[in-house]
Amino acid sequence: MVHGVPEPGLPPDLPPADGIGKADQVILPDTTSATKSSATRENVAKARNLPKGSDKFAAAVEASGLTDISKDLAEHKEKF
Amino acid sequence: MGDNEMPEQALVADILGQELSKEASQLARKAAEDSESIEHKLLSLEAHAKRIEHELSQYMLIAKKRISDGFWSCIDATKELARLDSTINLESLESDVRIAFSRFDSVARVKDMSGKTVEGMTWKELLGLSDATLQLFYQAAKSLFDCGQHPKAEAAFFFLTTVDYKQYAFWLGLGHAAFHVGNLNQAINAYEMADSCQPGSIYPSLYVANCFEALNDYQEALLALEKADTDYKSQDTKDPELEHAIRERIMRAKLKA
Repeated sequence: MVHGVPEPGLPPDLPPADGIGKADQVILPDTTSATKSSATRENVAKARNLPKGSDKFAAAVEASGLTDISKDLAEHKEKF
Repeated sequence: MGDNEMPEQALVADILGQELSKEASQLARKAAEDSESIEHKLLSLEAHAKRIEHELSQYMLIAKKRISDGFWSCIDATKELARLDSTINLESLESDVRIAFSRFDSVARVKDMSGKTVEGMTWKELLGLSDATLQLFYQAAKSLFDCGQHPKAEAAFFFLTTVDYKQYAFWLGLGHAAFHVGNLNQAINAYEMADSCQPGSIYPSLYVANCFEALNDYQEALLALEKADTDYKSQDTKDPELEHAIRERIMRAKLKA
């Protein structure tokens, strides 16, 4: 890898944790063409390989998955 | 439990699970009607809808398991980190997480929150998870990745992208972990999401190119590299080594495309 340039095969580097939770304030460094995030729920459904118009379904699956965690937490208080 | 009391978390989870199956069926029917694929022409509408419903049901099971596995992977990895780092406050983390997840206390509330996520809000915002908790979970997921525990890292980043889909680093992590477990389509999709979180960023396109090269699809790899080149040119700051590396990769991809 040269100065963080990914070669075929993949670099393992991930950004540090600083800035997590501040997505809306992210400004690309030294970039005049930086634009605001265009991440949308529709894109998320697409990223999950779901058919067009699945936004509601994708959100419902997420809700169901997170509710399962809530159930686990309620049932297993010793897990932490 | 009285009439006005909220049902238990387990009951909420069961009811949501059942409703989700119905939603999958309705969505499959609509997707089959709207489909213009070859499958649609070869199969009856009913058969096509059934096939889509089966795929959605599979997705539902896999996604729910990944979200849950990913959460517990984050918890376990955070505990490991806390053994080495005394500044990590597990009690505070537990309190934040338990308060956040206790909000899934009725079907009506979960449905309301689900509707708000469709409008663009994140689960992080709706549950009130703190930045500190997400930073800690990210560190945990990253540590799994750095240790080579890629399947666990993939689940952890899947969970994180579920909780907050607006984070560039979460999608990048999901892409990297998916790449290493050979889930290249998932990796490509994740990098595309990373790109949408930080439009103009060069690296997601380079990583997409890596995936297509691994798939021996040099035509698509070339397109991704050319996008990286375009994004590089639009930046004010120049890095000759990066520029040279991108150009070289484009030349190599052209030879193989």
